[in-house]
Amino acid sequence: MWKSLKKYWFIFWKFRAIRFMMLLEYRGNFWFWAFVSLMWTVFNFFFFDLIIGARNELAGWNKTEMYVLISTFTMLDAFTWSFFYHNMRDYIASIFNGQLTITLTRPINSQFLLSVQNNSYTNVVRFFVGLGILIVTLRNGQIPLTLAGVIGFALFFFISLLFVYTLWFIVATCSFWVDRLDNINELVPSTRRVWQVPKEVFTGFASTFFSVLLPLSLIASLPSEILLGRASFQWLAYYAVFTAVLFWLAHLFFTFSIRKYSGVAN
Amino acid sequence: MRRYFALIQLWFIKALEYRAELVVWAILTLLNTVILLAIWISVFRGQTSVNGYQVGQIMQYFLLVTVINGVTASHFEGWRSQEVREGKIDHYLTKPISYPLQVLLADIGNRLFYLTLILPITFLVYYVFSLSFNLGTVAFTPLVIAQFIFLLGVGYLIEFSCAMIAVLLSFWFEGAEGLEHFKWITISLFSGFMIPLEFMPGWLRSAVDILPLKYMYAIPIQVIQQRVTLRITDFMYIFFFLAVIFFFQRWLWQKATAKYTSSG
Amino acid sequence: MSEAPIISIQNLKKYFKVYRKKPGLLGSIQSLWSREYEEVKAVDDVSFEIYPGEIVGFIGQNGAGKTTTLKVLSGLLYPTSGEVSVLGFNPWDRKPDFQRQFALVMGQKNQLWWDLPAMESFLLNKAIYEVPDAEFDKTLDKLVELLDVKDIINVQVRKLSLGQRMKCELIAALLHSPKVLFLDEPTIGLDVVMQKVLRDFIKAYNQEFKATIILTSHYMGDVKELCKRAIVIDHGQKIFDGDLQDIIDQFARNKILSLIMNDKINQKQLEKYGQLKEFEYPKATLLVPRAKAAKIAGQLLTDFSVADVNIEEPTIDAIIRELFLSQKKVH
Repeated sequence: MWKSLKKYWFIFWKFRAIRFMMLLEYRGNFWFWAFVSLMWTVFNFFFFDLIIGARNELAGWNKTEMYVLISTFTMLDAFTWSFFYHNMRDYIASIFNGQLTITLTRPINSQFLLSVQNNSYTNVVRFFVGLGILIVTLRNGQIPLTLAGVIGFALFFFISLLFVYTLWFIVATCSFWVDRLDNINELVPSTRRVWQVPKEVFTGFASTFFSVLLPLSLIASLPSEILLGRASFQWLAYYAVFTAVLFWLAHLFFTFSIRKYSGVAN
Repeated sequence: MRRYFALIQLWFIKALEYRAELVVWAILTLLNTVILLAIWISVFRGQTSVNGYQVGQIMQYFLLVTVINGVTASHFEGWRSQEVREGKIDHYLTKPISYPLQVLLADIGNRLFYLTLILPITFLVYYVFSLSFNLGTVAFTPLVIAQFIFLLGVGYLIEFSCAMIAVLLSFWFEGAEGLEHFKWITISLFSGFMIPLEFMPGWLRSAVDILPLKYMYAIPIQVIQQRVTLRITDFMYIFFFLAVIFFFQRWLWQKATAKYTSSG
Repeated sequence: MSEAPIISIQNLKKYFKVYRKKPGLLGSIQSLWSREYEEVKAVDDVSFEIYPGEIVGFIGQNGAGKTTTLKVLSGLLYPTSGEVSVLGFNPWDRKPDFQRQFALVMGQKNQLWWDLPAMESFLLNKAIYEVPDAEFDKTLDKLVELLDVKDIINVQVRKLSLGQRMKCELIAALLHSPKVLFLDEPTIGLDVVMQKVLRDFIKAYNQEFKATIILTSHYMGDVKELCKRAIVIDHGQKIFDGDLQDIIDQFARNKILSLIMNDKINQKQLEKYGQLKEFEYPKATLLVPRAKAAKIAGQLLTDFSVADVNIEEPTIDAIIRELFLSQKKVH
């Protein structure tokens, strides 16, 4: 077990190193895309600034709280683009072009290999911009920080990443079941609008849907609520359990879908 | 003319083959609209009017944004630029129709299919929301319809030209498709796509007033809501702007073919 | 062969469903609600056994079921029915212990990182296959020497020629010293010289590492030079399994008589001796029935003034074509 963990840990970082070497190959590209990602971050803050500007609050969250939420979202989003997007894109492409065969013949957990092979570093800047704004907002808003709050935030930040990853992995795995679907990889990131608003924005059925059935609205809301000291235990517990179950289902679905995999050529 | 229709039809069939993808786009577009509406509803919670808008009007505004976006927005920069970079456009160049025109016809074919999907869904959403909110009446007089359709065409040409320019620039630059991000941000900011003019800070509003991008979203919606009518100066400005981007595009295309054929 | 087979397939079947679209706009619209599916029998009741150390040529036309069989053997495809055992494992279980002992090399797919030197991919595979340092160094040295690629393993893959890349692909696939090797069109797209280099390598690898190899190839040269045994598959069914020489004996109905004439003769005069394939004075090529070849040659020598005569076996490609044609007639 320990040896196996060590192997996976080593391979995970080996991939990061490989990607870093590639980055050094294409430096120009890196700066360009880092700039584009930064531009979107600024644009996003500006967009919400305008909306909040109308009433100085949104669904019961004041401007400071909204900034905590949006910076949390920004940090999560940085992971979305640097990690999940690339791996899932490659995963889907490998299903359609048959390259998956190589992954499947390796003596290593295929799901692991498919999920960690790729990453880009262009959104690292974005992550730190988000973190910077979060710290400044907390300080300027005089929001008291506790150790438990920070640890809880980190934990639920991780759970949110796991939730996004799992959801994305399930969606990507659906590629086994369709002839071809080029934009399937855009599905999860396209729901980002839901993540970046307080869960209270949704009412009625939308609220049930986005908070309970498919808790996209909890992704950034819950970690932010922990920092702001307004999180409720029930929601946290529900979200954590939901994510764990979803993770397990994703694994089952993957194993099941591999059976369907027929390769492109025969 | 017949060959143009043949090309449009070909791409329509192609789109039909990839219908699953278009359905996904349609759902995502719709999802984003619904979420945007939810956000605006929460902005209006406990308030009847904000910045002169009532909740129904703001919803009408963003539903119209979705319709206009469905008709006008271009998304072909990415794969077309890739084709250019990988030198896969030879078969287009050997045809007796210029490459930009082929791209245009292909895009129209694609779009026609997409519209058959997105329009009914949008109208359905419009209807569903109109049951709970007063979306305001829309008077479809011939004059209003004519102006609206004209502006849709203008919006489409602007979008198409910007995308085409990005594709043409990829004859020289590696990351040219990245320009689409600049296109989206610029259009979002200065066209009324992101937010109605009344919600903009002063400096942004002045910029929007000066720039021609307002004819893509803000003005057509105002035309439908019968808050403005196009004047002769508007037409002059529009034609001047379209002419400028058209000639720029043509110039780029000439330079691009020269470069492509010389580098082999 | 008293040893137990290392690969065993019994009554293997693998069927796929494919969708047929009718042409035109109408067909596209129609396919929205009704789609016609057709069942393709990629592999249809195939059985064979392969023993340790064998190199077996897997021959068949495009779509015959070669790659499908290899994929089943690699655990990539779940068979529709039948029993499969490789190295004592059921490939479908995809157990790491099994995966560490075989390699699948597909000429049309690559595993090397395009933008980095091949060495990086080797190191990654070392980690994935858990190859100990000393063994890795030893195997790498040996493979690098056999393939003569010392100078290129630290050059970015995208800067390598196709042949060099294929050599590195092979090294990447063999670093964990697999006991069983599935080679799917390893020489595809390579020039004649490089094909020869790779063949020599495969032969050497088989001898050096005692590996069992299944090879599919379009190039009969590959099969002829490497494999004593061949399995021919057509429309998913095995139509021949045995010594390559047996195929020649069974299906080469004709021999080729190459003549160089001294005197000018009429094309018609030659046609009565056999099927005239080529005639360009003074050269002529005749196809004659195998059994009568020697007799006809003698006849020709007495009837005409012949400068040179040669009796040859037809090329293996021609024989296989013959074999497929005979199958078609059966179908």
